[in-house]
Amino acid sequence: MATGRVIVVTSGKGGVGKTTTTANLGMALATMGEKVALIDADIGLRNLDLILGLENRIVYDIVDVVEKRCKLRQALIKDKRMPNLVLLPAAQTRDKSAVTPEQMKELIADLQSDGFGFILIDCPAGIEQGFRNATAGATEAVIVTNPEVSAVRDADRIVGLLEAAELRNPSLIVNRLRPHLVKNETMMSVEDVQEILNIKLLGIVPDDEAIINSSNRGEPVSLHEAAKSGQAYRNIARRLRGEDVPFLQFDEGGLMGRLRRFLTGVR
Amino acid sequence: MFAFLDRFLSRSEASRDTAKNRLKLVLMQDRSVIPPAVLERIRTEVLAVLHRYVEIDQGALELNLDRSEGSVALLASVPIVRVREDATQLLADAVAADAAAATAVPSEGAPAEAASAGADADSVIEAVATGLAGALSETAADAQVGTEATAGEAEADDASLARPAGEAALT
Repeated sequence: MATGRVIVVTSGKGGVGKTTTTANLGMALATMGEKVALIDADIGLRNLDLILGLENRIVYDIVDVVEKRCKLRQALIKDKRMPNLVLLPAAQTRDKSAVTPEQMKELIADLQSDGFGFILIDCPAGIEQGFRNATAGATEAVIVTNPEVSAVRDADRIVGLLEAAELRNPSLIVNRLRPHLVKNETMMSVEDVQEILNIKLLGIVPDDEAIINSSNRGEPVSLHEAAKSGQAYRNIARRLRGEDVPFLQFDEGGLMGRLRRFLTGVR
Repeated sequence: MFAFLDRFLSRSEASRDTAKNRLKLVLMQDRSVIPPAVLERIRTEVLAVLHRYVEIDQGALELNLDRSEGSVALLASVPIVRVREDATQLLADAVAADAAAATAVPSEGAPAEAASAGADADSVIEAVATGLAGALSETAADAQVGTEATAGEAEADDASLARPAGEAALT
Protein backbone atom coordinates (compact mmCIF):
# COMPACT_ATOMS: atom_id res chain seq x y z
CA MET A 1 0.00 0.00 0.00
CA ALA A 2 1.08 3.56 -0.63
CA THR A 3 3.09 5.02 2.20
CA GLY A 4 4.42 8.26 0.73
CA ARG A 5 4.07 11.24 2.99
CA VAL A 6 1.80 13.97 1.74
CA ILE A 7 2.67 17.38 3.15
CA VAL A 8 0.84 20.59 2.35
CA VAL A 9 2.83 23.80 2.65
CA THR A 10 0.44 26.56 3.59
CA SER A 11 0.26 29.97 5.26
CA GLY A 12 -3.01 31.80 4.71
CA LYS A 13 -1.23 35.02 3.84
CA GLY A 14 0.43 35.43 0.49
CA GLY A 15 4.05 36.31 0.01
CA VAL A 16 5.47 34.67 3.11
CA GLY A 17 7.51 32.15 1.14
CA LYS A 18 5.36 29.06 0.59
CA THR A 19 6.55 28.46 -2.94
CA THR A 20 10.20 29.07 -2.10
CA THR A 21 9.85 26.73 0.87
CA THR A 22 8.19 24.00 -1.21
CA ALA A 23 10.86 24.24 -3.90
CA ASN A 24 13.73 24.17 -1.44
CA LEU A 25 12.41 21.38 0.74
CA GLY A 26 11.64 19.31 -2.35
CA MET A 27 15.10 19.90 -3.73
CA ALA A 28 16.80 19.20 -0.41
CA LEU A 29 14.83 15.99 0.15
CA ALA A 30 15.65 14.82 -3.38
CA THR A 31 19.32 15.57 -2.76
CA MET A 32 19.09 13.27 0.24
CA GLY A 33 17.89 10.47 -1.99
CA GLU A 34 14.14 10.74 -1.49
CA LYS A 35 11.79 10.33 -4.43
CA VAL A 36 9.89 13.61 -4.36
CA ALA A 37 6.87 14.98 -6.20
CA LEU A 38 5.94 18.65 -5.93
CA ILE A 39 2.40 19.73 -6.74
CA ASP A 40 1.69 23.35 -7.56
CA ALA A 41 -1.89 23.78 -6.33
CA ASP A 42 -1.93 27.50 -7.09
CA ILE A 43 -3.99 27.18 -10.24
CA GLY A 44 -4.10 30.42 -12.21
CA LEU A 45 -1.03 31.82 -10.45
CA ARG A 46 1.61 29.19 -11.02
CA ASN A 47 5.10 29.98 -9.84
CA LEU A 48 6.67 26.84 -8.45
CA ASP A 49 7.93 26.03 -11.96
CA LEU A 50 9.66 29.40 -12.13
CA ILE A 51 11.35 29.08 -8.73
CA LEU A 52 12.60 25.63 -9.74
CA GLY A 53 13.75 26.81 -13.16
CA LEU A 54 11.42 24.37 -14.95
CA GLU A 55 9.10 26.88 -16.61
CA ASN A 56 10.24 26.12 -20.14
CA ARG A 57 9.57 22.43 -19.89
CA ILE A 58 5.85 22.48 -19.15
CA VAL A 59 3.72 20.62 -21.68
CA TYR A 60 0.78 19.44 -19.59
CA ASP A 61 -0.48 20.63 -16.24
CA ILE A 62 -2.61 19.45 -13.33
CA VAL A 63 -5.88 20.42 -15.04
CA ASP A 64 -4.90 18.44 -18.14
CA VAL A 65 -4.42 15.45 -15.87
CA VAL A 66 -7.74 15.71 -14.04
CA GLU A 67 -9.58 16.40 -17.28
CA LYS A 68 -7.89 13.35 -18.79
CA ARG A 69 -6.14 15.07 -21.66
CA CYS A 70 -2.93 13.34 -20.62
CA LYS A 71 -1.60 10.69 -18.29
CA LEU A 72 -0.24 11.78 -14.91
CA ARG A 73 3.26 10.70 -15.90
CA GLN A 74 3.19 12.85 -19.00
CA ALA A 75 2.51 15.96 -16.91
CA LEU A 76 5.28 15.32 -14.40
CA ILE A 77 8.42 17.32 -15.17
CA LYS A 78 11.64 15.64 -14.15
CA ASP A 79 14.29 17.94 -12.82
CA LYS A 80 17.45 17.31 -14.83
CA ARG A 81 19.68 18.41 -11.93
CA MET A 82 17.94 15.98 -9.63
CA PRO A 83 16.26 13.09 -11.42
CA ASN A 84 14.28 11.93 -8.38
CA LEU A 85 12.48 15.28 -8.17
CA VAL A 86 9.37 15.88 -10.29
CA LEU A 87 6.96 18.79 -10.56
CA LEU A 88 3.28 18.66 -11.39
CA PRO A 89 2.69 22.23 -12.56
CA ALA A 90 -0.48 24.24 -12.01
CA ALA A 91 -2.54 25.44 -14.95
CA GLN A 92 -2.03 29.11 -15.62
CA THR A 93 -5.18 29.90 -17.59
CA ARG A 94 -7.75 28.29 -15.32
CA ASP A 95 -8.92 28.95 -11.78
CA LYS A 96 -9.16 27.05 -8.51
CA SER A 97 -12.53 25.52 -9.44
CA ALA A 98 -10.88 23.54 -12.25
CA VAL A 99 -9.89 20.87 -9.72
CA THR A 100 -11.97 19.34 -6.92
CA PRO A 101 -10.75 17.95 -3.60
CA GLU A 102 -11.77 14.46 -4.76
CA GLN A 103 -9.64 14.78 -7.87
CA MET A 104 -6.70 15.92 -5.77
CA LYS A 105 -7.05 12.86 -3.59
CA GLU A 106 -7.05 10.56 -6.60
CA LEU A 107 -4.05 12.29 -8.06
CA ILE A 108 -2.12 11.96 -4.81
CA ALA A 109 -3.03 8.29 -4.49
CA ASP A 110 -1.64 7.77 -8.01
CA LEU A 111 1.61 9.50 -7.07
CA GLN A 112 1.88 7.39 -3.94
CA SER A 113 1.44 4.20 -5.91
CA ASP A 114 4.15 5.44 -8.28
CA GLY A 115 6.49 5.23 -5.30
CA PHE A 116 6.99 8.84 -4.34
CA GLY A 117 8.14 9.00 -0.73
CA PHE A 118 7.40 12.69 -0.32
CA ILE A 119 4.61 14.58 -2.01
CA LEU A 120 4.75 18.29 -1.21
CA ILE A 121 1.81 20.48 -2.10
CA ASP A 122 2.33 24.20 -2.61
CA CYS A 123 -0.91 25.68 -1.31
CA PRO A 124 -2.24 28.95 -2.72
CA ALA A 125 -2.76 31.92 -0.39
CA GLY A 126 -6.22 32.30 1.04
CA ILE A 127 -8.68 29.96 2.69
CA GLU A 128 -11.07 29.29 -0.17
CA GLN A 129 -11.28 26.45 -2.66
CA GLY A 130 -7.58 26.52 -3.49
CA PHE A 131 -6.84 25.86 0.16
CA ARG A 132 -9.45 23.11 0.34
CA ASN A 133 -8.00 21.43 -2.76
CA ALA A 134 -4.44 21.66 -1.50
CA THR A 135 -5.27 20.23 1.91
CA ALA A 136 -7.69 17.56 0.68
CA GLY A 137 -5.20 14.78 0.11
CA ALA A 138 -2.58 15.85 2.64
CA THR A 139 -1.78 13.93 5.78
CA GLU A 140 0.61 16.49 7.25
CA ALA A 141 0.79 20.25 7.16
CA VAL A 142 3.62 22.74 7.37
CA ILE A 143 2.70 26.34 8.09
CA VAL A 144 5.04 29.02 6.83
CA THR A 145 4.92 32.40 8.49
CA ASN A 146 6.97 35.54 8.91
CA PRO A 147 7.64 37.22 12.27
CA GLU A 148 5.13 39.90 11.43
CA VAL A 149 1.62 40.56 12.77
CA SER A 150 -0.49 39.89 9.68
CA ALA A 151 1.38 36.70 8.74
CA VAL A 152 1.09 35.33 12.27
CA ARG A 153 -2.58 36.17 12.52
CA ASP A 154 -3.28 34.38 9.25
CA ALA A 155 -1.18 31.43 10.35
CA ASP A 156 -3.31 31.16 13.46
CA ARG A 157 -6.43 31.07 11.34
CA ILE A 158 -4.87 28.33 9.24
CA VAL A 159 -4.15 26.26 12.33
CA GLY A 160 -7.86 26.33 13.10
CA LEU A 161 -8.90 25.52 9.54
CA LEU A 162 -6.43 22.65 9.32
CA GLU A 163 -7.83 21.24 12.52
CA ALA A 164 -11.31 21.42 11.06
CA ALA A 165 -9.95 19.54 8.03
CA GLU A 166 -8.60 16.81 10.34
CA LEU A 167 -5.01 17.90 9.74
CA ARG A 168 -3.82 18.06 13.31
CA ASN A 169 -0.40 18.93 14.68
CA PRO A 170 0.86 21.15 11.88
CA SER A 171 4.45 22.25 12.22
CA LEU A 172 5.82 25.75 11.84
CA ILE A 173 8.49 27.32 9.70
CA VAL A 174 9.38 30.87 10.65
CA ASN A 175 10.64 32.38 7.43
CA ARG A 176 12.41 35.68 6.77
CA LEU A 177 13.74 36.09 10.26
CA ARG A 178 15.98 39.13 10.62
CA PRO A 179 18.10 38.43 13.69
CA HIS A 180 19.46 41.95 14.04
CA LEU A 181 15.91 43.35 14.17
CA VAL A 182 15.01 40.82 16.83
CA LYS A 183 18.07 41.96 18.74
CA ASN A 184 16.87 45.56 18.40
CA GLU A 185 13.50 44.45 19.67
CA THR A 186 11.85 45.67 16.50
CA MET A 187 10.90 42.22 15.26
CA MET A 188 9.17 39.36 17.02
CA SER A 189 11.48 36.49 17.80
CA VAL A 190 10.89 32.88 16.86
CA GLU A 191 9.98 32.22 20.49
CA ASP A 192 7.42 35.05 20.39
CA VAL A 193 5.78 33.60 17.29
CA GLN A 194 5.87 30.11 18.70
CA GLU A 195 4.38 31.25 21.98
CA ILE A 196 1.48 32.84 20.15
CA LEU A 197 0.78 30.04 17.69
CA ASN A 198 1.68 27.23 20.06
CA ILE A 199 2.57 24.64 17.43
CA LYS A 200 5.69 22.57 16.94
CA LEU A 201 8.62 24.42 15.40
CA LEU A 202 10.05 22.73 12.30
CA GLY A 203 12.55 25.33 11.23
CA ILE A 204 13.83 28.88 11.11
CA VAL A 205 14.88 30.46 7.83
CA PRO A 206 16.72 33.77 7.92
CA ASP A 207 15.93 36.56 5.51
CA ASP A 208 18.62 36.14 2.90
CA GLU A 209 19.59 38.00 -0.24
CA ALA A 210 20.76 34.70 -1.67
CA ILE A 211 17.11 33.71 -2.03
CA ILE A 212 16.39 36.60 -4.39
CA ASN A 213 19.42 35.63 -6.42
CA SER A 214 18.43 31.99 -6.56
CA SER A 215 14.85 32.82 -7.53
CA ASN A 216 16.18 35.02 -10.30
CA ARG A 217 18.13 32.08 -11.65
CA GLY A 218 15.64 29.33 -10.95
CA GLU A 219 18.08 27.49 -8.74
CA PRO A 220 16.74 26.71 -5.27
CA VAL A 221 19.01 28.10 -2.58
CA SER A 222 19.17 24.73 -0.85
CA LEU A 223 21.57 23.71 -3.63
CA HIS A 224 24.01 26.35 -2.45
CA GLU A 225 26.29 25.15 0.27
CA ALA A 226 27.32 28.56 1.51
CA ALA A 227 23.96 30.29 1.89
CA LYS A 228 22.61 30.38 5.43
CA SER A 229 19.04 30.05 4.14
CA GLY A 230 20.08 27.03 2.07
CA GLN A 231 21.49 25.47 5.20
CA ALA A 232 18.23 26.22 7.00
CA TYR A 233 16.18 24.47 4.31
CA ARG A 234 18.47 21.45 4.29
CA ASN A 235 18.10 21.22 8.04
CA ILE A 236 14.33 21.31 7.75
CA ALA A 237 14.44 18.56 5.13
CA ARG A 238 16.50 16.44 7.49
CA ARG A 239 14.01 17.04 10.29
CA LEU A 240 11.20 15.98 7.97
CA ARG A 241 13.06 12.72 7.48
CA GLY A 242 13.11 12.22 11.21
CA GLU A 243 16.58 13.43 12.04
CA ASP A 244 17.13 15.47 15.15
CA VAL A 245 18.90 18.58 13.89
CA PRO A 246 19.56 21.55 16.19
CA PHE A 247 18.05 24.85 15.11
CA LEU A 248 20.37 27.32 13.42
CA GLN A 249 22.07 29.78 15.70
CA PHE A 250 21.85 33.37 14.61
CA ASP A 251 24.33 35.51 16.37
CA GLU A 252 22.18 37.55 18.64
CA GLY A 253 25.46 39.09 19.59
CA GLY A 254 26.92 40.04 22.90
CA LEU A 255 26.32 38.89 26.38
CA MET A 256 22.56 39.50 26.40
CA GLY A 257 21.90 37.21 23.47
CA ARG A 258 23.93 34.43 24.97
CA LEU A 259 22.34 34.99 28.33
CA ARG A 260 18.85 34.87 26.85
CA ARG A 261 19.65 31.68 25.00
CA PHE A 262 21.07 30.22 28.15
CA LEU A 263 18.08 31.21 30.25
CA THR A 264 15.40 30.21 27.76
CA GLY A 265 17.19 27.09 26.69
CA VAL A 266 16.45 28.01 23.08
CA ARG A 267 19.17 27.04 20.67
CA MET B 1 21.33 50.35 19.92
CA PHE B 2 19.43 53.43 18.82
CA ALA B 3 16.21 51.57 19.30
CA PHE B 4 17.30 50.74 22.79
CA LEU B 5 18.30 54.31 23.59
CA ASP B 6 15.11 55.62 22.07
CA ARG B 7 13.05 53.32 24.24
CA PHE B 8 15.11 54.13 27.27
CA LEU B 9 14.66 57.84 26.80
CA SER B 10 11.07 57.90 25.66
CA ARG B 11 10.00 54.90 27.75
CA SER B 12 8.01 53.63 24.81
CA GLU B 13 7.44 49.92 24.42
CA ALA B 14 9.59 47.97 21.96
CA SER B 15 7.63 47.41 18.77
CA ARG B 16 8.37 43.73 19.12
CA ASP B 17 6.34 43.71 22.33
CA THR B 18 3.65 45.91 20.83
CA ALA B 19 3.32 43.43 17.98
CA LYS B 20 3.09 40.54 20.38
CA ASN B 21 0.50 42.17 22.59
CA ARG B 22 -1.65 43.35 19.70
CA LEU B 23 -1.54 39.89 18.18
CA LYS B 24 -2.54 38.25 21.43
CA LEU B 25 -5.55 40.51 21.69
CA VAL B 26 -6.71 40.11 18.12
CA LEU B 27 -6.22 36.36 18.22
CA MET B 28 -8.33 36.18 21.35
CA GLN B 29 -11.22 37.46 19.29
CA ASP B 30 -10.30 35.41 16.22
CA ARG B 31 -10.16 32.23 18.24
CA SER B 32 -13.28 32.74 20.29
CA VAL B 33 -16.40 31.23 18.89
CA ILE B 34 -18.30 34.44 19.47
CA PRO B 35 -18.36 36.36 16.22
CA PRO B 36 -18.05 40.16 16.47
CA ALA B 37 -21.66 40.61 15.41
CA VAL B 38 -22.87 38.44 18.26
CA LEU B 39 -20.57 40.22 20.69
CA GLU B 40 -22.03 43.52 19.57
CA ARG B 41 -25.53 42.19 20.10
CA ILE B 42 -24.66 40.98 23.59
CA ARG B 43 -23.29 44.43 24.23
CA THR B 44 -26.44 46.24 23.14
CA GLU B 45 -28.73 43.85 24.96
CA VAL B 46 -26.76 44.01 28.19
CA LEU B 47 -26.67 47.76 27.83
CA ALA B 48 -30.42 47.95 27.33
CA VAL B 49 -31.08 45.97 30.50
CA LEU B 50 -28.59 47.95 32.57
CA HIS B 51 -30.02 51.14 31.21
CA ARG B 52 -33.37 50.43 32.82
CA TYR B 53 -31.84 50.67 36.26
CA VAL B 54 -28.78 52.84 36.01
CA GLU B 55 -27.56 55.68 33.91
CA ILE B 56 -24.47 54.47 32.13
CA ASP B 57 -21.57 56.25 30.55
CA GLN B 58 -22.11 54.48 27.25
CA GLY B 59 -18.94 55.79 25.68
CA ALA B 60 -16.84 54.22 28.40
CA LEU B 61 -18.56 50.84 28.34
CA GLU B 62 -16.10 48.08 27.67
CA LEU B 63 -16.99 44.56 26.72
CA ASN B 64 -14.09 42.27 25.95
CA LEU B 65 -13.23 38.64 25.63
CA ASP B 66 -10.45 37.35 27.76
CA ARG B 67 -8.87 33.98 27.26
CA SER B 68 -6.97 32.20 29.95
CA GLU B 69 -6.23 28.57 30.68
CA GLY B 70 -8.39 27.31 27.89
CA SER B 71 -11.57 29.13 28.82
CA VAL B 72 -12.98 32.33 27.47
CA ALA B 73 -14.33 35.00 29.77
CA LEU B 74 -16.50 37.93 28.83
CA LEU B 75 -15.41 40.99 30.79
CA ALA B 76 -17.63 44.01 31.02
CA SER B 77 -16.68 47.29 32.59
CA VAL B 78 -19.69 49.57 32.96
CA PRO B 79 -19.14 52.99 34.48
CA ILE B 80 -22.34 54.09 36.23
CA VAL B 81 -23.19 57.74 36.15
CA ARG B 82 -26.28 57.57 38.32
CA VAL B 83 -28.70 55.00 39.67
CA ARG B 84 -32.24 55.67 38.57
CA GLU B 85 -34.59 56.71 41.32
CA ASP B 86 -37.27 54.28 40.28
CA ALA B 87 -34.78 51.41 40.11
CA THR B 88 -36.39 49.40 42.90
CA GLN B 89 -39.83 49.66 41.40
CA LEU B 90 -38.48 48.72 38.02
CA LEU B 91 -36.66 45.80 39.55
CA ALA B 92 -39.83 44.49 41.11
CA ASP B 93 -41.61 44.88 37.79
CA ALA B 94 -38.78 43.20 35.97
CA VAL B 95 -38.67 40.24 38.32
CA ALA B 96 -42.39 39.91 37.97
CA ALA B 97 -42.04 39.94 34.22
CA ASP B 98 -39.22 37.43 34.45
CA ALA B 99 -36.67 39.62 32.72
CA ALA B 100 -34.43 37.57 30.53
CA ALA B 101 -30.71 37.65 29.80
CA ALA B 102 -27.62 38.18 31.88
CA THR B 103 -27.38 41.47 33.58
CA ALA B 104 -26.30 43.35 36.62
CA VAL B 105 -29.00 44.66 38.87
CA PRO B 106 -28.60 47.47 41.34
CA SER B 107 -27.79 46.36 44.83
CA GLU B 108 -29.00 49.53 46.46
CA GLY B 109 -31.87 48.98 48.82
CA ALA B 110 -32.50 52.60 49.55
CA PRO B 111 -33.20 54.49 46.36
CA ALA B 112 -32.93 57.93 47.87
CA GLU B 113 -29.43 57.43 49.15
CA ALA B 114 -28.46 55.47 46.12
CA ALA B 115 -29.41 58.31 43.88
CA SER B 116 -26.99 60.63 45.54
CA ALA B 117 -24.30 58.00 45.81
CA GLY B 118 -24.84 57.11 42.19
CA ALA B 119 -23.53 60.47 41.09
CA ASP B 120 -20.11 59.07 41.81
CA ALA B 121 -18.76 58.21 38.41
CA ASP B 122 -16.35 55.73 39.94
CA SER B 123 -19.13 53.24 40.45
CA VAL B 124 -18.38 50.37 38.20
CA ILE B 125 -20.17 47.18 37.55
CA GLU B 126 -17.96 44.37 36.43
CA ALA B 127 -19.61 41.35 35.02
CA VAL B 128 -17.64 38.23 34.37
CA ALA B 129 -19.17 35.41 32.46
CA THR B 130 -16.92 32.44 31.99
CA GLY B 131 -17.36 29.49 29.73
CA LEU B 132 -19.16 31.59 27.17
CA ALA B 133 -17.36 29.99 24.29
CA GLY B 134 -19.18 26.75 24.60
CA ALA B 135 -22.44 28.14 25.84
CA LEU B 136 -23.68 30.94 23.70
CA SER B 137 -27.26 30.01 24.30
CA GLU B 138 -26.88 30.23 28.04
CA THR B 139 -25.07 33.48 27.82
CA ALA B 140 -24.39 34.21 31.44
CA ALA B 141 -24.65 30.88 33.16
CA ASP B 142 -21.89 31.66 35.60
CA ALA B 143 -22.32 35.39 35.72
CA GLN B 144 -20.67 37.01 38.65
CA VAL B 145 -21.77 40.53 39.28
CA GLY B 146 -20.02 42.87 41.59
CA THR B 147 -20.73 46.50 42.25
CA GLU B 148 -18.22 48.82 43.75
CA ALA B 149 -20.49 51.48 45.15
CA THR B 150 -18.46 53.93 47.13
CA ALA B 151 -21.41 55.12 49.20
CA GLY B 152 -21.09 52.03 51.35
CA GLU B 153 -24.84 52.08 51.94
CA ALA B 154 -25.48 49.22 49.63
CA GLU B 155 -27.57 46.41 51.00
CA ALA B 156 -28.61 43.46 48.96
CA ASP B 157 -32.29 43.74 48.28
CA ASP B 158 -34.07 40.43 48.67
CA ALA B 159 -35.58 40.93 45.28
CA SER B 160 -32.16 41.20 43.70
CA LEU B 161 -31.38 37.62 44.67
CA ALA B 162 -34.16 36.50 42.41
CA ARG B 163 -32.39 37.74 39.30
CA PRO B 164 -32.39 35.33 36.47
CA ALA B 165 -28.64 34.96 36.10
CA GLY B 166 -27.99 31.50 37.53
CA GLU B 167 -25.25 31.51 40.14
CA ALA B 168 -24.72 35.22 40.20
CA ALA B 169 -23.38 36.62 43.43
CA LEU B 170 -23.01 40.07 44.77
CA THR B 171 -19.75 41.21 46.22
